[in-house]
Amino acid sequence: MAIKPQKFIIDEAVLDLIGNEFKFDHAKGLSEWMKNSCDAYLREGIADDKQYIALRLVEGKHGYLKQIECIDFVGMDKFQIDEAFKRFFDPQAAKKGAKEANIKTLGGHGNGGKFYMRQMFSTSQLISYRNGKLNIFGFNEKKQYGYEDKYENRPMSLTEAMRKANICDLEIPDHIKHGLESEEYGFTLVRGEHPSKMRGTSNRNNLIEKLVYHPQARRLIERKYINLIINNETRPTRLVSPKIVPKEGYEQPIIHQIPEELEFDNKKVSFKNDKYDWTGRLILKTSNDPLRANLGSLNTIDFIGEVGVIASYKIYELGANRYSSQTEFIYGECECPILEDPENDCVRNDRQKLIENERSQALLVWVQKRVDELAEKMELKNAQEKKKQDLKNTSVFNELLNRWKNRFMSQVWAEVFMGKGPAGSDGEGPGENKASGGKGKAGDGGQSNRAGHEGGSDVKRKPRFPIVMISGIDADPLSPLATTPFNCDTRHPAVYRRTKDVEAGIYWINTSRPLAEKIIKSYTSDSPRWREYLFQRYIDIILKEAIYKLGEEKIDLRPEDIDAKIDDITTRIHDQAAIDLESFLFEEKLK
Amino acid sequence: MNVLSKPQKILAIMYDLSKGTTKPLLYEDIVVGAFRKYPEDFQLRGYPEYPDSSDIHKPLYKMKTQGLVRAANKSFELTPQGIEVASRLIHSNQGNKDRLTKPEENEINRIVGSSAFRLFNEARKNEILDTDFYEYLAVTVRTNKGDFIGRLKNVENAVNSLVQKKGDLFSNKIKELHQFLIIRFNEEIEARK
Repeated sequence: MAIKPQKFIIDEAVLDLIGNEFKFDHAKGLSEWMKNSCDAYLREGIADDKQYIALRLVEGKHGYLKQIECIDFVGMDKFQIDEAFKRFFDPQAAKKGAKEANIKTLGGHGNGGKFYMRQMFSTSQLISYRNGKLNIFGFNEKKQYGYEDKYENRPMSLTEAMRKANICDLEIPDHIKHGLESEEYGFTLVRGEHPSKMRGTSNRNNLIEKLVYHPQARRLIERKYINLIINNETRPTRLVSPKIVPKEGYEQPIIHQIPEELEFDNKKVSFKNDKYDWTGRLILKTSNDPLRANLGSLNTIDFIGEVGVIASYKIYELGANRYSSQTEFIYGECECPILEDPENDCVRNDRQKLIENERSQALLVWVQKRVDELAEKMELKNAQEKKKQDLKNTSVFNELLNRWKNRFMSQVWAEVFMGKGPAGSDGEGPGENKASGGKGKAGDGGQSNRAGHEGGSDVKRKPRFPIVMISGIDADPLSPLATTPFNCDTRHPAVYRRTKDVEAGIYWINTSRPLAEKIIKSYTSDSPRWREYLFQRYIDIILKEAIYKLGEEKIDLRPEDIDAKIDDITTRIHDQAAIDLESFLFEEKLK
Repeated sequence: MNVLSKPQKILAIMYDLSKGTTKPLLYEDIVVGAFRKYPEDFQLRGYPEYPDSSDIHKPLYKMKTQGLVRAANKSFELTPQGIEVASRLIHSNQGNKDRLTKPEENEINRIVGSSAFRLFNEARKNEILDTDFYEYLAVTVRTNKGDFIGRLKNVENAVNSLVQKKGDLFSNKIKELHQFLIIRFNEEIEARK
């Protein structure tokens, strides 16, 4: 059909329709104004540390706010107001008038700040001064907009203009003052009068607290000079974002690069294309304190597009998490520029949640999994710490038993095995040649501190007697960089060894076994029951050593030989323990 | 009767000396037994009236890594697999090619009862521990290197034989488990090579 294209006619009612969807609270609205102010500085190419923004809150009766203002010292002329401010839904609004082409700005759909002015105040106005002219543009009670009578491109001195905006007494930094006086820059003050009462942000303290935690605002507060003025104050105070102390052991952020492709619904979703060559990354951080109550708004993952936050998800909104007690200590941000790809835009008008499409869904699932992984690690660490706490004193008991075992084995091995030491090589067959010849020699059962090392040039020292360590308490001595305790699996045997433990003469008492855990839970690690449990494991270890020693001695080992040896060694252990370990095994409280 | 190689002759001697059992044999008895039965093969060069033990030593240790012989404390014994092989050599019996041998059958039955097989079968293969792997091979962490490699060989042979002779879903499952364990616990195996 051949048509003569005409300009679209859209009824103003659509503004109410969309505006009602914004559901502003004043923290969110104010952060929209702050973003607009930051964009004004960005368009002029002014560095972060030179940007100066002031928020003024004026209180009325009963502490309710009656006026909210946001001031920057850039200013707009009539052309900018007409082209950028007056026009709704212009995605280029934030970039209009920029000195640098392809500038990345925080503003996206060009309507957040305007809708806040229109929807959330009885009246509102933008007072902007630039190039010696003042413009006042605003919304009236009927939500209609326009220039204030006599204030459309009105020539005026700086002093007069500042008086009109009620900022002439404001203490401002010298470089800002200089910018104003030299007419290089001007100022813009956005004012909302008689704000709608919104639960949680209707008085100044609540609003400020919510603002510093707001995902859109807190990043700006962190990086730029955002200042606060209350009522008639003239000296602004810099706002600071709350400092979050990380959890011990998680001081450094955990960074995951977003893969080039993620799978969603059996389809590959790409996070890289010709326009976006960096897939982005997820940065997860932890907090020492749970992020709940007033910190609850921090328990989120902020999604950042090309510059600013384009969506925020509470951790629980990402999906079910297996370790919910840990997730309230996690927050972070996900930088993913391709989410702003105009060909598959994921950014909603209100920048609260992403538009649901394959890309956003795939990313959300991936982020949720990374959060879940971190929570799992934190849970595991917690469990380990709890276990370490539960096992307090066990190290002391183990040290005592280790010393006792060495004395016992030294004496008994000399008698039972005719002086041969208990530890040593693993008993290769007779006459077997090793790399450089020669077979290891078994320990001498009391003469030397070196138990049978194997032949070869790489002579390793082995302890004369096995070393017994406790899982969940002791770090792995064969991993010198290990900082956390070595843990056995619950299915590992009560006395466990790895291949390298055999070579080093190490045994682990597995404290993860159900019986061990039950004793600690029911009787605590101070109890004689727990000491006896440890003692029993020492008996296991001594018997194992004795059986292997017997195997080295006898050509044809029969079950009866093992049976007899177990009887012999067990009897000796019990007799000796009755003398040496009476208080260890029987006293309720070991001194 | 087929002409036997030197290692096969040693295996046959061990079978004779142990009367077809896993009874341990002294190294010296094997040397003397081999010399008596095959003096041309096991005599000391230049001194045909004396046995040469060096000809016995190397094949014995090779058979150990093949899972045919176990060595312990100056003695050697045939494994069930070694008995099976020696028996076939002596009796020129090639066996039924479609049926598992008794040692192979025992090996497979043992595998089926192992925790590794249970977990693998229940799609919980990630829970299989090093101790399960040892149980699967019927060794312990202290089993010496030669015996460990010998056991690995025995199990591998039994699994391959099962796949070859049965080739059904069950045998493929066992094969899958074996391959999974070999990859997962490669470090344990390499430490013993």
